[in-house]
Amino acid sequence: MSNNYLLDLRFGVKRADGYVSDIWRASTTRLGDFHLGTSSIAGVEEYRFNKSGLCRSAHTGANGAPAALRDRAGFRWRRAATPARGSGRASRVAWIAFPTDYLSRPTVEDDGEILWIDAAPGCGATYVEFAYAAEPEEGIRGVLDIMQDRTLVRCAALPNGENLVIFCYHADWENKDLRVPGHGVVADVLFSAADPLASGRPLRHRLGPAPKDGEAVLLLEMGGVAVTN
Amino acid sequence: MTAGVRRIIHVDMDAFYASVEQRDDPALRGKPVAVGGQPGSRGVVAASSYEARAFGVRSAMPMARALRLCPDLVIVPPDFPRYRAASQQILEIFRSCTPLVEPLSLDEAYLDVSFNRWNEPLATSVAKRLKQRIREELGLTASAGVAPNKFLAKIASGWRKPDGLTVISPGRVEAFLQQLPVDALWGVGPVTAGKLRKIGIQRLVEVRTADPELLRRAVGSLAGILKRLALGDDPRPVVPDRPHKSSSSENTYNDDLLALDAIRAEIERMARQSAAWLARKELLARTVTIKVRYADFTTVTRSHTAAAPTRDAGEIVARALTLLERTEAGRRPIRLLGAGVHGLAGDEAAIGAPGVLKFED
Repeated sequence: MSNNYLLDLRFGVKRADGYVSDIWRASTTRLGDFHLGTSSIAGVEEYRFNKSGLCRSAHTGANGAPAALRDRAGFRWRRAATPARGSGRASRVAWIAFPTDYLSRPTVEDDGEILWIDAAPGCGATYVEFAYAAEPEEGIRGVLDIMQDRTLVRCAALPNGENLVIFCYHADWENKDLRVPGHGVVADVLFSAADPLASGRPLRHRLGPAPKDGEAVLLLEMGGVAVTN
Repeated sequence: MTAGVRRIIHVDMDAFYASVEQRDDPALRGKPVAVGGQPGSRGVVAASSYEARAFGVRSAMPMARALRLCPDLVIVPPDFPRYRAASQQILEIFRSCTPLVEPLSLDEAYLDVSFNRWNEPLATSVAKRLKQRIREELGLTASAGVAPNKFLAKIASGWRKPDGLTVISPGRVEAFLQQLPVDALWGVGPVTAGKLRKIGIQRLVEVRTADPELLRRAVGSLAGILKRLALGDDPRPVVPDRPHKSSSSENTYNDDLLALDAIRAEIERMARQSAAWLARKELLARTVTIKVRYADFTTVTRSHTAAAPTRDAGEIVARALTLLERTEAGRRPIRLLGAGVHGLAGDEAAIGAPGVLKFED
């Protein structure tokens, strides 16, 4: 772990047959910022949650910036304030859904430093959520114990006395084929649980709306394959 | 902390009464069928097959109108004992999975399968198994909605019919809400929807940002509930085995009653008592029942079940008095009279029922 980080966690979601998500990195700096990002053959995507409450996203294409954008471009918003200590509440700032039937055949070796979260059964999705809480870690663990269906991944102390809480759970998911058109510029991308081309879904993409002030980042990560007809 | 993720299923049998009739009488299969009263006796449609729905025939519609829409409509009188038997079988299937089963009527129920006896980790798998068992054991189809709460599960079950399964994952709730019209909200019937549209609210999510005072003026005390539901927030638990199954009262008279006016007055009084009880308990009833014991101890009961539940005193009284006409009251001395309501449901049943606008004027 770099000295600049209080938390530096690499994680992903993995199915029993070895199919995986992209590998994500969640880190907190000594200044109290929280960074969440992933890199894949599609490039780097990063979400930065500044200690001031200001947030921004940044995207970098591995093969250069997206055609219409500068090298780093994204959106900005302000996250919801952390609820006061004693409220028993937390403020979710990001959540990622990994539908199990859209995970991908692994293409890189596991270097052993990745926390693999067990994927939900088929027709399910694994959700990983990130929240700020002013409650002490013990209280957070107590609440999650009561809820039973959520697993604490990490509880990282921040310099201002708050905690960044990372937890996961399994939920239902409805599998539907999705074809994103390339409009003749690039190939269409097919996201299919059935994977009719037996491709292993090598292209992993993240979809989600731009958050408005006070909202959490919601991302859906799915694997697909380029199709030409 | 955020609330736990619940796994709620709403199961809605497809055209239940009509499907039971078509299952049991092969001659009805593939034909437009309406279960209900004859048009000559001011009958209404209690249920219609999908073949009949293609002609626009809907529940609670006067049968005479249904016949005008579909001249080849086959009208079948309701056989509630048979529907109840099928409903009991379905509930047994549900309860083999979870004790948290909340029937809303003979043909729909909520299930909380967050923890279930089948050890299925996800509600989708449970819903698939339920649908399969209903098909195999009863020869009927059901549509199911899977969601983190009751409000969303109920909308989801109606999303694809018949034989549908719609799943709303927590991360998809917002996208689902965004596409709903305002009258998808619980309690919003045509009148309330009209009022909301007058203040510029067309879509459900627009309730969130509506001016609170305008909203309150438009829909009164419903405003707060609407705001919560527009956010997809519905913490109500699945409540199995409602404590109240029915309400009735009866009275045995010292002197036998023969005068019809007096008998009618007694039935009206008891029916009003039941309506008042429903109002106090915030419940609705589909069935009105009366009981008449003649002087020779012969006892008859008469009941009427409407497609739409109600707690309206006038309606309950009118139905009880109509039932009285099907007895020999006024012609034979009577020693005991009773009236009551059953087939109870919470307000949510009224919202889903045709013709009932719970929050309307």
